[in-house]
Amino acid sequence: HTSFLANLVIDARSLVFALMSALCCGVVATFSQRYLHKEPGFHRFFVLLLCFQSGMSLVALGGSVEVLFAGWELIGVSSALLVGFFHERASPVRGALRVIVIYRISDAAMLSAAIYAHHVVGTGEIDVLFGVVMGPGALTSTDATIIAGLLALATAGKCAQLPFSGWLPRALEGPTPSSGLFYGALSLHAGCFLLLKSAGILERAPLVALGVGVMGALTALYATLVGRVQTDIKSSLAFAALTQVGVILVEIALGLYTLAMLHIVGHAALRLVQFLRAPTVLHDFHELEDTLGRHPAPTGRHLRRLIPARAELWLYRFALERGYLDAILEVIVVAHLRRFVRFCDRCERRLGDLLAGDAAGSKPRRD
Amino acid sequence: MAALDQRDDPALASLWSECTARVSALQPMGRTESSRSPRHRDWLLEATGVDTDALVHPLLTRVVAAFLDQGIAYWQLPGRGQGLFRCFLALYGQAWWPPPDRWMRELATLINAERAHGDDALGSLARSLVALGVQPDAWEPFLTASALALGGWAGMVRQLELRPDRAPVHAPPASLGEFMAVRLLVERAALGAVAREELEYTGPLAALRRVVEQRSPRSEEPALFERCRPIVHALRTLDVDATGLRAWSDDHLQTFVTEVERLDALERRRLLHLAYERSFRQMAYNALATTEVDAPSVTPNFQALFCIDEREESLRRHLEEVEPAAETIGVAGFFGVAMYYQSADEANARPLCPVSIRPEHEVTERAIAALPTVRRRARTRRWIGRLLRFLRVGSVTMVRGTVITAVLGGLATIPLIARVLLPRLSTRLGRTSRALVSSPRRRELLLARRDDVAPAPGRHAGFTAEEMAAIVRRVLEDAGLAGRLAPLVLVLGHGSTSLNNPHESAHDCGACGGGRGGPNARAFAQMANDRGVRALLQGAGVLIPDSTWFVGAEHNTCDESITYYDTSVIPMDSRAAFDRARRSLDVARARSAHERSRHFDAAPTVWARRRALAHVEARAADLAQPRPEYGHATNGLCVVGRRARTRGLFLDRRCFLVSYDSTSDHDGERLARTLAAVIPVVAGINLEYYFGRVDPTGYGCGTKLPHNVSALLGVMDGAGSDLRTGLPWQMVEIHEPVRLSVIVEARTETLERVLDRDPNLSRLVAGRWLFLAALDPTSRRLDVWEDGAFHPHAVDDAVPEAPSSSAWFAGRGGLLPFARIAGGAHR
Repeated sequence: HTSFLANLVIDARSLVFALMSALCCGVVATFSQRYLHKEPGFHRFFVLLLCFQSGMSLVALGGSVEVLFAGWELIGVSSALLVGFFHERASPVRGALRVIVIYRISDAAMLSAAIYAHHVVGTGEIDVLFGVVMGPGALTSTDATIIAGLLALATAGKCAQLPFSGWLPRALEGPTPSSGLFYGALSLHAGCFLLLKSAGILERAPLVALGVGVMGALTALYATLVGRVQTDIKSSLAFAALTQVGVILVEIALGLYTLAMLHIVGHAALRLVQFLRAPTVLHDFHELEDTLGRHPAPTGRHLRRLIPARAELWLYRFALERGYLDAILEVIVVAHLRRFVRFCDRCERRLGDLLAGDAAGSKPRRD
Repeated sequence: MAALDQRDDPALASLWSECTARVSALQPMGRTESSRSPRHRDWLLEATGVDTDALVHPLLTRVVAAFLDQGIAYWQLPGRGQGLFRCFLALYGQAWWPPPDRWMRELATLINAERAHGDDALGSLARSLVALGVQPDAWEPFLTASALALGGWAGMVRQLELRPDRAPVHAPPASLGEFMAVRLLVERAALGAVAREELEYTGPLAALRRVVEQRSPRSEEPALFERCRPIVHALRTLDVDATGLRAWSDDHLQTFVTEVERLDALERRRLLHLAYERSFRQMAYNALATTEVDAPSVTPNFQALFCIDEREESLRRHLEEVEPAAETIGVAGFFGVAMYYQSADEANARPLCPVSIRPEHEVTERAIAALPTVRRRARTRRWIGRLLRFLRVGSVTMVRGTVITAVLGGLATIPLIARVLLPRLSTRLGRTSRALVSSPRRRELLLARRDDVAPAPGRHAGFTAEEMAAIVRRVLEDAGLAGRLAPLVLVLGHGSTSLNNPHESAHDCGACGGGRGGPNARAFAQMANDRGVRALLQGAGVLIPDSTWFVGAEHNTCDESITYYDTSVIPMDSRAAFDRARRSLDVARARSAHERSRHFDAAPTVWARRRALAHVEARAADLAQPRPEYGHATNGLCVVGRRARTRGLFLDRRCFLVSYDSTSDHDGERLARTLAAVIPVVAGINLEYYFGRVDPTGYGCGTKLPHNVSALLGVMDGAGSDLRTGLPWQMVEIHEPVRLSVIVEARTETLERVLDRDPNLSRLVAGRWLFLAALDPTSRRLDVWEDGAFHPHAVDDAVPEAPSSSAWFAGRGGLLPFARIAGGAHR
């Protein structure tokens, strides 16, 4: 027997998260009213922004896995469409495609978690599922591990954790306010919040918690290394945000939920301001020079002292190439996939020629 | 269409078949063999659909940005001192744990082969050209096309190579040659990889072209059907039917077909554009050819020197309407003072003069206050600076970032809400709090030559009295002011402030090289007030009466405010005149703000003037405002002559106004130097807007919204692209792309003589980059330069009249026709 519930649940954490997302979306909407004035996609932008806001509210307040999933999907779709907002150029569309692919993996994990939960517990209600009402013991530890693992996978995709981090810099193709809202403030934290919400189940799956912690720590290290060589302001901010999201996941894995919540709120607000002010970086730099009375001293000199010269050069290239994540993906997955698709294409053509009785493989005729 | 129509139109059917039969017998279309692109990438793209630039450009962008970075990255590229090429070789030639993708590993192999030859960039460039099979006579087109493929970054490298003094922080040692050497190395690796993957070709790249050409035969002639369609259309428009066509001789038909085919889409648009430009020119010529010739010779109660900038046209016109006894003059907005300038609040000196001039003088500003106060404030500022820097840098790191975001992050909600919802208030608050720690408000310019301080080599600290006298004399003479100075002369430079706008300096003064002209105006006024300078001038025959006082000021073209300098030293005798002038300017700037707001869709066209000022202030203070002002948009006209010839004309902020008095310039010498200095600048501005408007994403930099500041040097689209050059769409969207019409008040003979002697100017005119006309100094005659000679202009339309500017534009948005304003004349 399976029932679907569309209920909302309010507790302290979800209230804070819902309020925060409402505030950020409100500010960004006000900002964009003027920023996107006269832009051809003005209405599209606001439709997508509101879709996103609804998604965030559902994720924050959702009382069952189904509602969470609906919100999750809204966030994903609106994010991808906003990345591809300037669809007359190729690179935003490519970036959006990349985002969609990773988000689908994340969505599939989320959906699997929901189905599996229904399968073993019979309900998607998160109070039941995550052990608030029934107490420990409702789920076997294997079930808990599987569900928590799937949720962690969903989080990894949404939060751009390793090895999925490659999409984040490409997602910055959208208009500045949406980049700020999604990759500075809210979207990147949605996964963290999901884990906070399912903390009950995470606690009963220590292996998964360990995995989340390690993933968060590695991502934080990776992102801080890569972020330090970024020479454009938006990428630099995006990797800085990713670093903090990694740290937040570590906090969650360690069970420091209040700290994590505080961190989410503070980080979202600060990063959003920084993103919205990103075009003013020239101004800020001059002002800093003027208050200091000279050019600011170069940063990162202690790195140079700590690391031997050859390793420094190697690490620099590693960071500049963003850890070769895209290349690794290309070599491991995409190249094989492409070869397979081409093979299928060849087979299909041969078959077609065979059926048409034209083994020579002539050009398609024009009518 | 034609094919469909034939079925129910037998006349058309017979015309069609007659036409196809006849045309097929004619010569094939006289299309010139479109030369193939010189780049291998283009052939490969055509043959395989794979773009090697998609591999090359992200890598080049990252490396060049890291190399040129002025201070965004926390961790700087190691070894920048050895130059771009060697730096690149060291970084990407590392064999230890190479990148996983094959083409990058091949790049490392290539680099190491290159290193065996030494690390000379130009040598490597030559070897790459040979390896790519580019023949020496094709080097230039090949290199040009390759450089332009990533033109923004290539241009930035070149700019820093040529003008290291204009770098924001420092110019790393890179040259265009090194950039191209790097580019070709990367390109070779990418071409090799794509050729192998897509074409299974592993031979030398020099033979790639042949291989590609074998696989993709050239496209054929357009089908007969396609060719006949426009011809049949044209025949039908001329009412020629099949029988009529049959009567045409082959030669006749051939001529006709050639004419039709020459009038392709591009040519049609060109003709329409010429007509569009002509209608603007006619309007301008009509307005100028019907003005009063002589101004009444009344001594004005004050004179105001403005920049020639067309944005000042509205302020000048409104000032003249408010104060009919005032006179306004237009001179290039650096007022002859070419200098590096450092204010008391600034850490570095920056050049303030036209880009073509490299200044030889440095001027600093000093606070007039007790030294301890100055030092204490400087110390406080440094502390705040350090704290800000700690927070800003810390927030993007890991450990510091965790503490800052988790503990202090929540506080960011305050600026978040205040900045977005209350822009004007938060700007005012910011200004007030900054004033608490900035250098004391009373400051002076250290203008006189000081030999005890040594600025950068090749520069002097300050000007000698002789240099100052020469500057003042030249400006006064060029503006026709010598010997007829009013008791008060205002000197208004201009600049623009806006937030969140990487293109801010595009709104500043072009004559100051994209800087703010206030310091130049202030320096000029101080020079002209100097007793020693006045004595020298008197010796040279230029008298500045003792009763005359100069006041420098800066007009902010964005929020329409005016800042006056050194008002405390104005002598008592000139105070009343100054206060009166200031009040008039206050009214004028409110009206000007009102007029300017007509172009903003977010502002109503009918409202109180006070609200217009508040509106433009809010624009300047708003983080979310991509159009703080429209800059030079809508410019299209330049008048070089006495203001009397344009006074009382509503020129809709579209006209550069350069003061020049031909009556006192007998040999045309002054005209020659005025035109040589001014025309390249204004024509450059005009063409920048022209091309930015006709091709917003090619010559312009597209919409501002996805822009991303890179390396503190320029903007990219999104996370990584070429540096976008040119003007953003938000600055040119209201621009009417017309080439500049320059109208010079001078005799045609004088102008012809100047034209003959100035190769720059004659090239601009002969190349039709601008249109030239001469307005006779003694009559209403206007001659237009066309095909190497002047032809008289015939007025073909009356110029509308209005009682005042405000009455003319009230309630109307968009561009308005030029009009005569009854209240604007000199009284």
